[in-house]
Amino acid sequence: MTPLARYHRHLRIQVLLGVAAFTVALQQFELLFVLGAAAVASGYISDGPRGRHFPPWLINVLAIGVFGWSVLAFFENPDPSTTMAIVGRLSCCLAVLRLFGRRGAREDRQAVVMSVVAVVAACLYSFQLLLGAIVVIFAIETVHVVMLNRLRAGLDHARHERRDLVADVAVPPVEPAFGRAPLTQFRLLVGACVIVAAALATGVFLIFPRPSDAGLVALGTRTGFSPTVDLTRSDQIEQSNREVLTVQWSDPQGVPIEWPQPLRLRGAVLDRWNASNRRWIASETRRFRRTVTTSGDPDDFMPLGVEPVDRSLYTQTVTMRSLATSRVFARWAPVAISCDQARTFTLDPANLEIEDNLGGGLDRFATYRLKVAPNPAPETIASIAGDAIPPVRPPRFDVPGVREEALRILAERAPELLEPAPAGDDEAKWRRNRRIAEVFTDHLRGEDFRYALDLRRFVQRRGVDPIYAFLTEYRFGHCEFFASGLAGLCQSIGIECRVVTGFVAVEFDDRLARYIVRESNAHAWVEVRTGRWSWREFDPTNTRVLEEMQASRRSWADDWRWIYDRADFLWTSRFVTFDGTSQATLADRLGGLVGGGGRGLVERISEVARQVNRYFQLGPAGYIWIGIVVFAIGLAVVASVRWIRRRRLVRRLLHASPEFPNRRLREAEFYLTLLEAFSAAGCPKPAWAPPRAHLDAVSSARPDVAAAAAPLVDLFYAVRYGGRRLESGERRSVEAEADRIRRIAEGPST
Amino acid sequence: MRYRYHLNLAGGLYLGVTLLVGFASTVRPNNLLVWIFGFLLSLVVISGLTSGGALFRLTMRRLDPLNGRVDRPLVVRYSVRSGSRYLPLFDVRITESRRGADRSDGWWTHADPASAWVMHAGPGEVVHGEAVFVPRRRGRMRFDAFEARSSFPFGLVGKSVTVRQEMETLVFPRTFPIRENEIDRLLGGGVGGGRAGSGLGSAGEYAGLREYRPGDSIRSVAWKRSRAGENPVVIQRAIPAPPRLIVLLDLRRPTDRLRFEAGVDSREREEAAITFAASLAESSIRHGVEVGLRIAGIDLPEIPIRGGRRHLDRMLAHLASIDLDVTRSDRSIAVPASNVAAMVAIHVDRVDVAIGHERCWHLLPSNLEDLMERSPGATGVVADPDQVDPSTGSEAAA
Repeated sequence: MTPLARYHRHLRIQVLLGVAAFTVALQQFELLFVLGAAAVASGYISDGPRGRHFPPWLINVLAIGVFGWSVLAFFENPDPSTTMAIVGRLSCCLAVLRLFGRRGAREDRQAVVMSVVAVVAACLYSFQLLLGAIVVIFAIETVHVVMLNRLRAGLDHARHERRDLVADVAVPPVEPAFGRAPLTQFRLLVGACVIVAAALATGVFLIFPRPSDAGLVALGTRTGFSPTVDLTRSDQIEQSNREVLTVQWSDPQGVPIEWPQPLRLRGAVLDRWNASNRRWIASETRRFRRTVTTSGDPDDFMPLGVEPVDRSLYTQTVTMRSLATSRVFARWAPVAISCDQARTFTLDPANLEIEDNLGGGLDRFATYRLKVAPNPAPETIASIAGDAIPPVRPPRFDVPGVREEALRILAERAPELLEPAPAGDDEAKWRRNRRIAEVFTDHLRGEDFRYALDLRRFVQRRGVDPIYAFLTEYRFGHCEFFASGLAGLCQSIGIECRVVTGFVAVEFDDRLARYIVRESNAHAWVEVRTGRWSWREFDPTNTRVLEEMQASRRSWADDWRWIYDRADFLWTSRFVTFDGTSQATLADRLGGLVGGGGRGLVERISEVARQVNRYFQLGPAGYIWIGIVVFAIGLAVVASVRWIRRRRLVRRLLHASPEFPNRRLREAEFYLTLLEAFSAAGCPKPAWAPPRAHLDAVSSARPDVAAAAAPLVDLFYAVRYGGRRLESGERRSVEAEADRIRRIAEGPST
Repeated sequence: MRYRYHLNLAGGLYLGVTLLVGFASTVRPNNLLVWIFGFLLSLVVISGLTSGGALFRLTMRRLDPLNGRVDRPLVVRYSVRSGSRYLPLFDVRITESRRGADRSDGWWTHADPASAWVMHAGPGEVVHGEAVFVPRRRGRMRFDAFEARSSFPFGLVGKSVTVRQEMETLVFPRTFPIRENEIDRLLGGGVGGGRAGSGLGSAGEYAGLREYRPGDSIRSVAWKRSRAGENPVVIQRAIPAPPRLIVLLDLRRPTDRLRFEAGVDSREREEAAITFAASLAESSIRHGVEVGLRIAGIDLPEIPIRGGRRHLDRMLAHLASIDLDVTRSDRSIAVPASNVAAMVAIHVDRVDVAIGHERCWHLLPSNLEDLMERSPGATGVVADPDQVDPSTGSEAAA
């Protein structure tokens, strides 16, 4: 069988993978269903035994139709960011369409190029693990298909040349000339090319110049937690149940408990709406930032303020699972921090944001602990914030129409709040602010508003602010829209507030006594200033809807998600967020390994072993277990290699085809031992010599060995060519006899 | 051996796409794109290493081709040995180099080639590929150098190896089958028939007895008829003797002195005469006639009257090697008597009855169409030699 025998099947698989990659990236599974079914059907229709093909005019008409549809789709929503999505969809359709036409190597190349374009387009929109896996498989399959295509092109060219010859008699057809085992060698070559290409690609990946914060930017486009609030996207957001971290919430006595309310973990605080790029951003308060360095001991809390750490506070222990981010997720208000690694954290005292932006992200299964005061005294906040607390001044919110909407809501629901608070009475002002925020929250939680993850009908129009559109027109969206709406309403009438993004922990595991925080728990809410030192949380999103939605999405498969989550974590932490900082870290480590002359390598191995031990919580005996497992794995690898080599040797010795059953090989294995005996006797068997002829040669040099081996050689002929079967007992005795002959051969000549 | 790289459009497009992906991965912080960019780049490196490593170590040889024939496929075989220890060779196209196309022989304007294709040759293996040529002209076909080309594995850059190996083969003239009854008519009732052979061997019918002569096979002695003390007698056998024909090709007149109507290519008519002679020889031998060949005007040896396929090949090779550019001689050739063999003289432009014996047929190239098999317009009319009009110079048979 030549490599070309399954060419069409591989081409179909390659196109299917391209379609799968695109649909997974853009979450258009209906497209996968339609095009995937069509691609599979082409295997029966066009590449089947009957070989029915679409006529060229029909292919052209359909291609023009798909192209026109794509152009219309673009003009319907002329957003440059969706251009590649349209191009990718067009490429998928054309590639599948091409499978139905009569095609040669050239047309097949077109299908390959189309699917490559679709995959590149997919990579522009997503970087999830599943897409990465598909892209890797696609790359392997593409190498395979392109190499097959070259063979097919060569065959087509030769056939065309022969067909063009005009002669008096028939021109002999092309018969491909090939040597032994072309299929095996082709596969080996493909495998070698893929391995080398993957290695070189990884090298390029490691040294490719990147900005230092590229990882965070990449994460910002991901479904789940995002350090920014971006209201420009109008697509469908898929709920992800990936476990990102666990939280243990302990009372002052150190007992893990479940908090009566949902545990809101603050990640990023954004206080200013940028209407030009439609994002919430944080005011720059860089000059107040302070750094705190942890010792690596989880019990060694470093105070965030000047006051000594009060041991009676609640303790929040966060264990990162699959999220690689530099943000520290803390319940309001964190007072002290510790970490299981020596790290330097940056604290923004104005909003108590904590970030590990010096060490390159908490991406190595890090665990950090926080001392938290859920209802902090003003002195505590003052101790932490110092001069960094922003002065009380009315915020600016310049979106036209929102103030009018806010006043309309107040006039409708609480007209008494339209009156300003008495001048000089701060308490009345804070009370009024709180009351207004409650009114707006009730308004947004009302029947008029609907929580939705599918924003495809939320059409972004030029000149129309998305917050205004959300409040007055569409009235549906996810938590970021609700939080933005509340913050916009409050700021438009001069109430200080800020949007907070992070996680809301609601899933408490009684067995682990921990909160399980998943990507679907990513949330945004609002903090309204209700005092000089106090901010109060308001969540305009209906949490009941959120909880119902999350509960309905739980399935038995979620019990096994931890396997996927581990891989996803590695993918995210090592690949997706790999940026300039990671490059520098890697270079330092490599430099350490090289410079240390192996000492660094030993330390690194020890560190890995320590991390594994800590991860599996094996205790002091864990290192023994790790050693045993590593030894067993090494032993298994060596045994497998030896077994494969021996089996291959026997197969070659017997000139057995790949279809020759393995059990028959095992029965003839004793001859290998016999050959070793001949070698030990100083008469190695040349490949060209038949066994009996070689036995005659041995008998002249070592008659004792030849005499002992003669019955086994006869038995070998009977097994190999006579179809004789050896029972297991007989086989063992024959192998023992072969061992005995080998010992005779290793001894002196008699 | 000469090694070359060839840039092609696909490689340029690939590089363009690679650069675009590289640009996209620079603009957008997407590591998956970066990896794809690295993968695309690495394929360029692998392409150069793989194809260069395999192709530039191969050794090739053109195997001696058999003789060809005009308008019939001529198979030329190439032996390809992959010299790499580890890398197999895939998708190698072997073509004859056309660098000699503008040379005086101009062979490549008179032959349609189809290259050989070797799909695979394992490390150290020898594989034979077959190319097919359809020669359009009779004569010596010269091979100069040939080239192995491949753009495997990815088609980005083409690589070629040129091997110089001069060789030549003969291309026989084109032949057309001639009807059997026409051959019988040309033979004029048949010169030949049963003849008493030399008595050697045991084949043939019994013809009589004669006295033993030194040299006779001992097996031919008729022991029952021989008496003791007398010379032994041997059995004389009759060997069936097939009809004999001498084809006489008249090329005495140089090409530039041939007289034709305007627009007729003289060299073409000469080639047509050669084709006629070859067709007549082949069809006659196929029908069991022994054929000899005389070529007047060209200094080539006579071909004696024989039968059989090898003899036919000898005659065709003789006709193939005629060089029409050499100086013609008007030297007379030896013509056997009419009872020895029938004779057909093929002239180029006009009949000259001075050549050939008195019962010789004198034909022109245009008569071939009348004699050919399955010719729709064939009337089977051949002029009787008794009605020869020596004065005519037309293309009608004389």
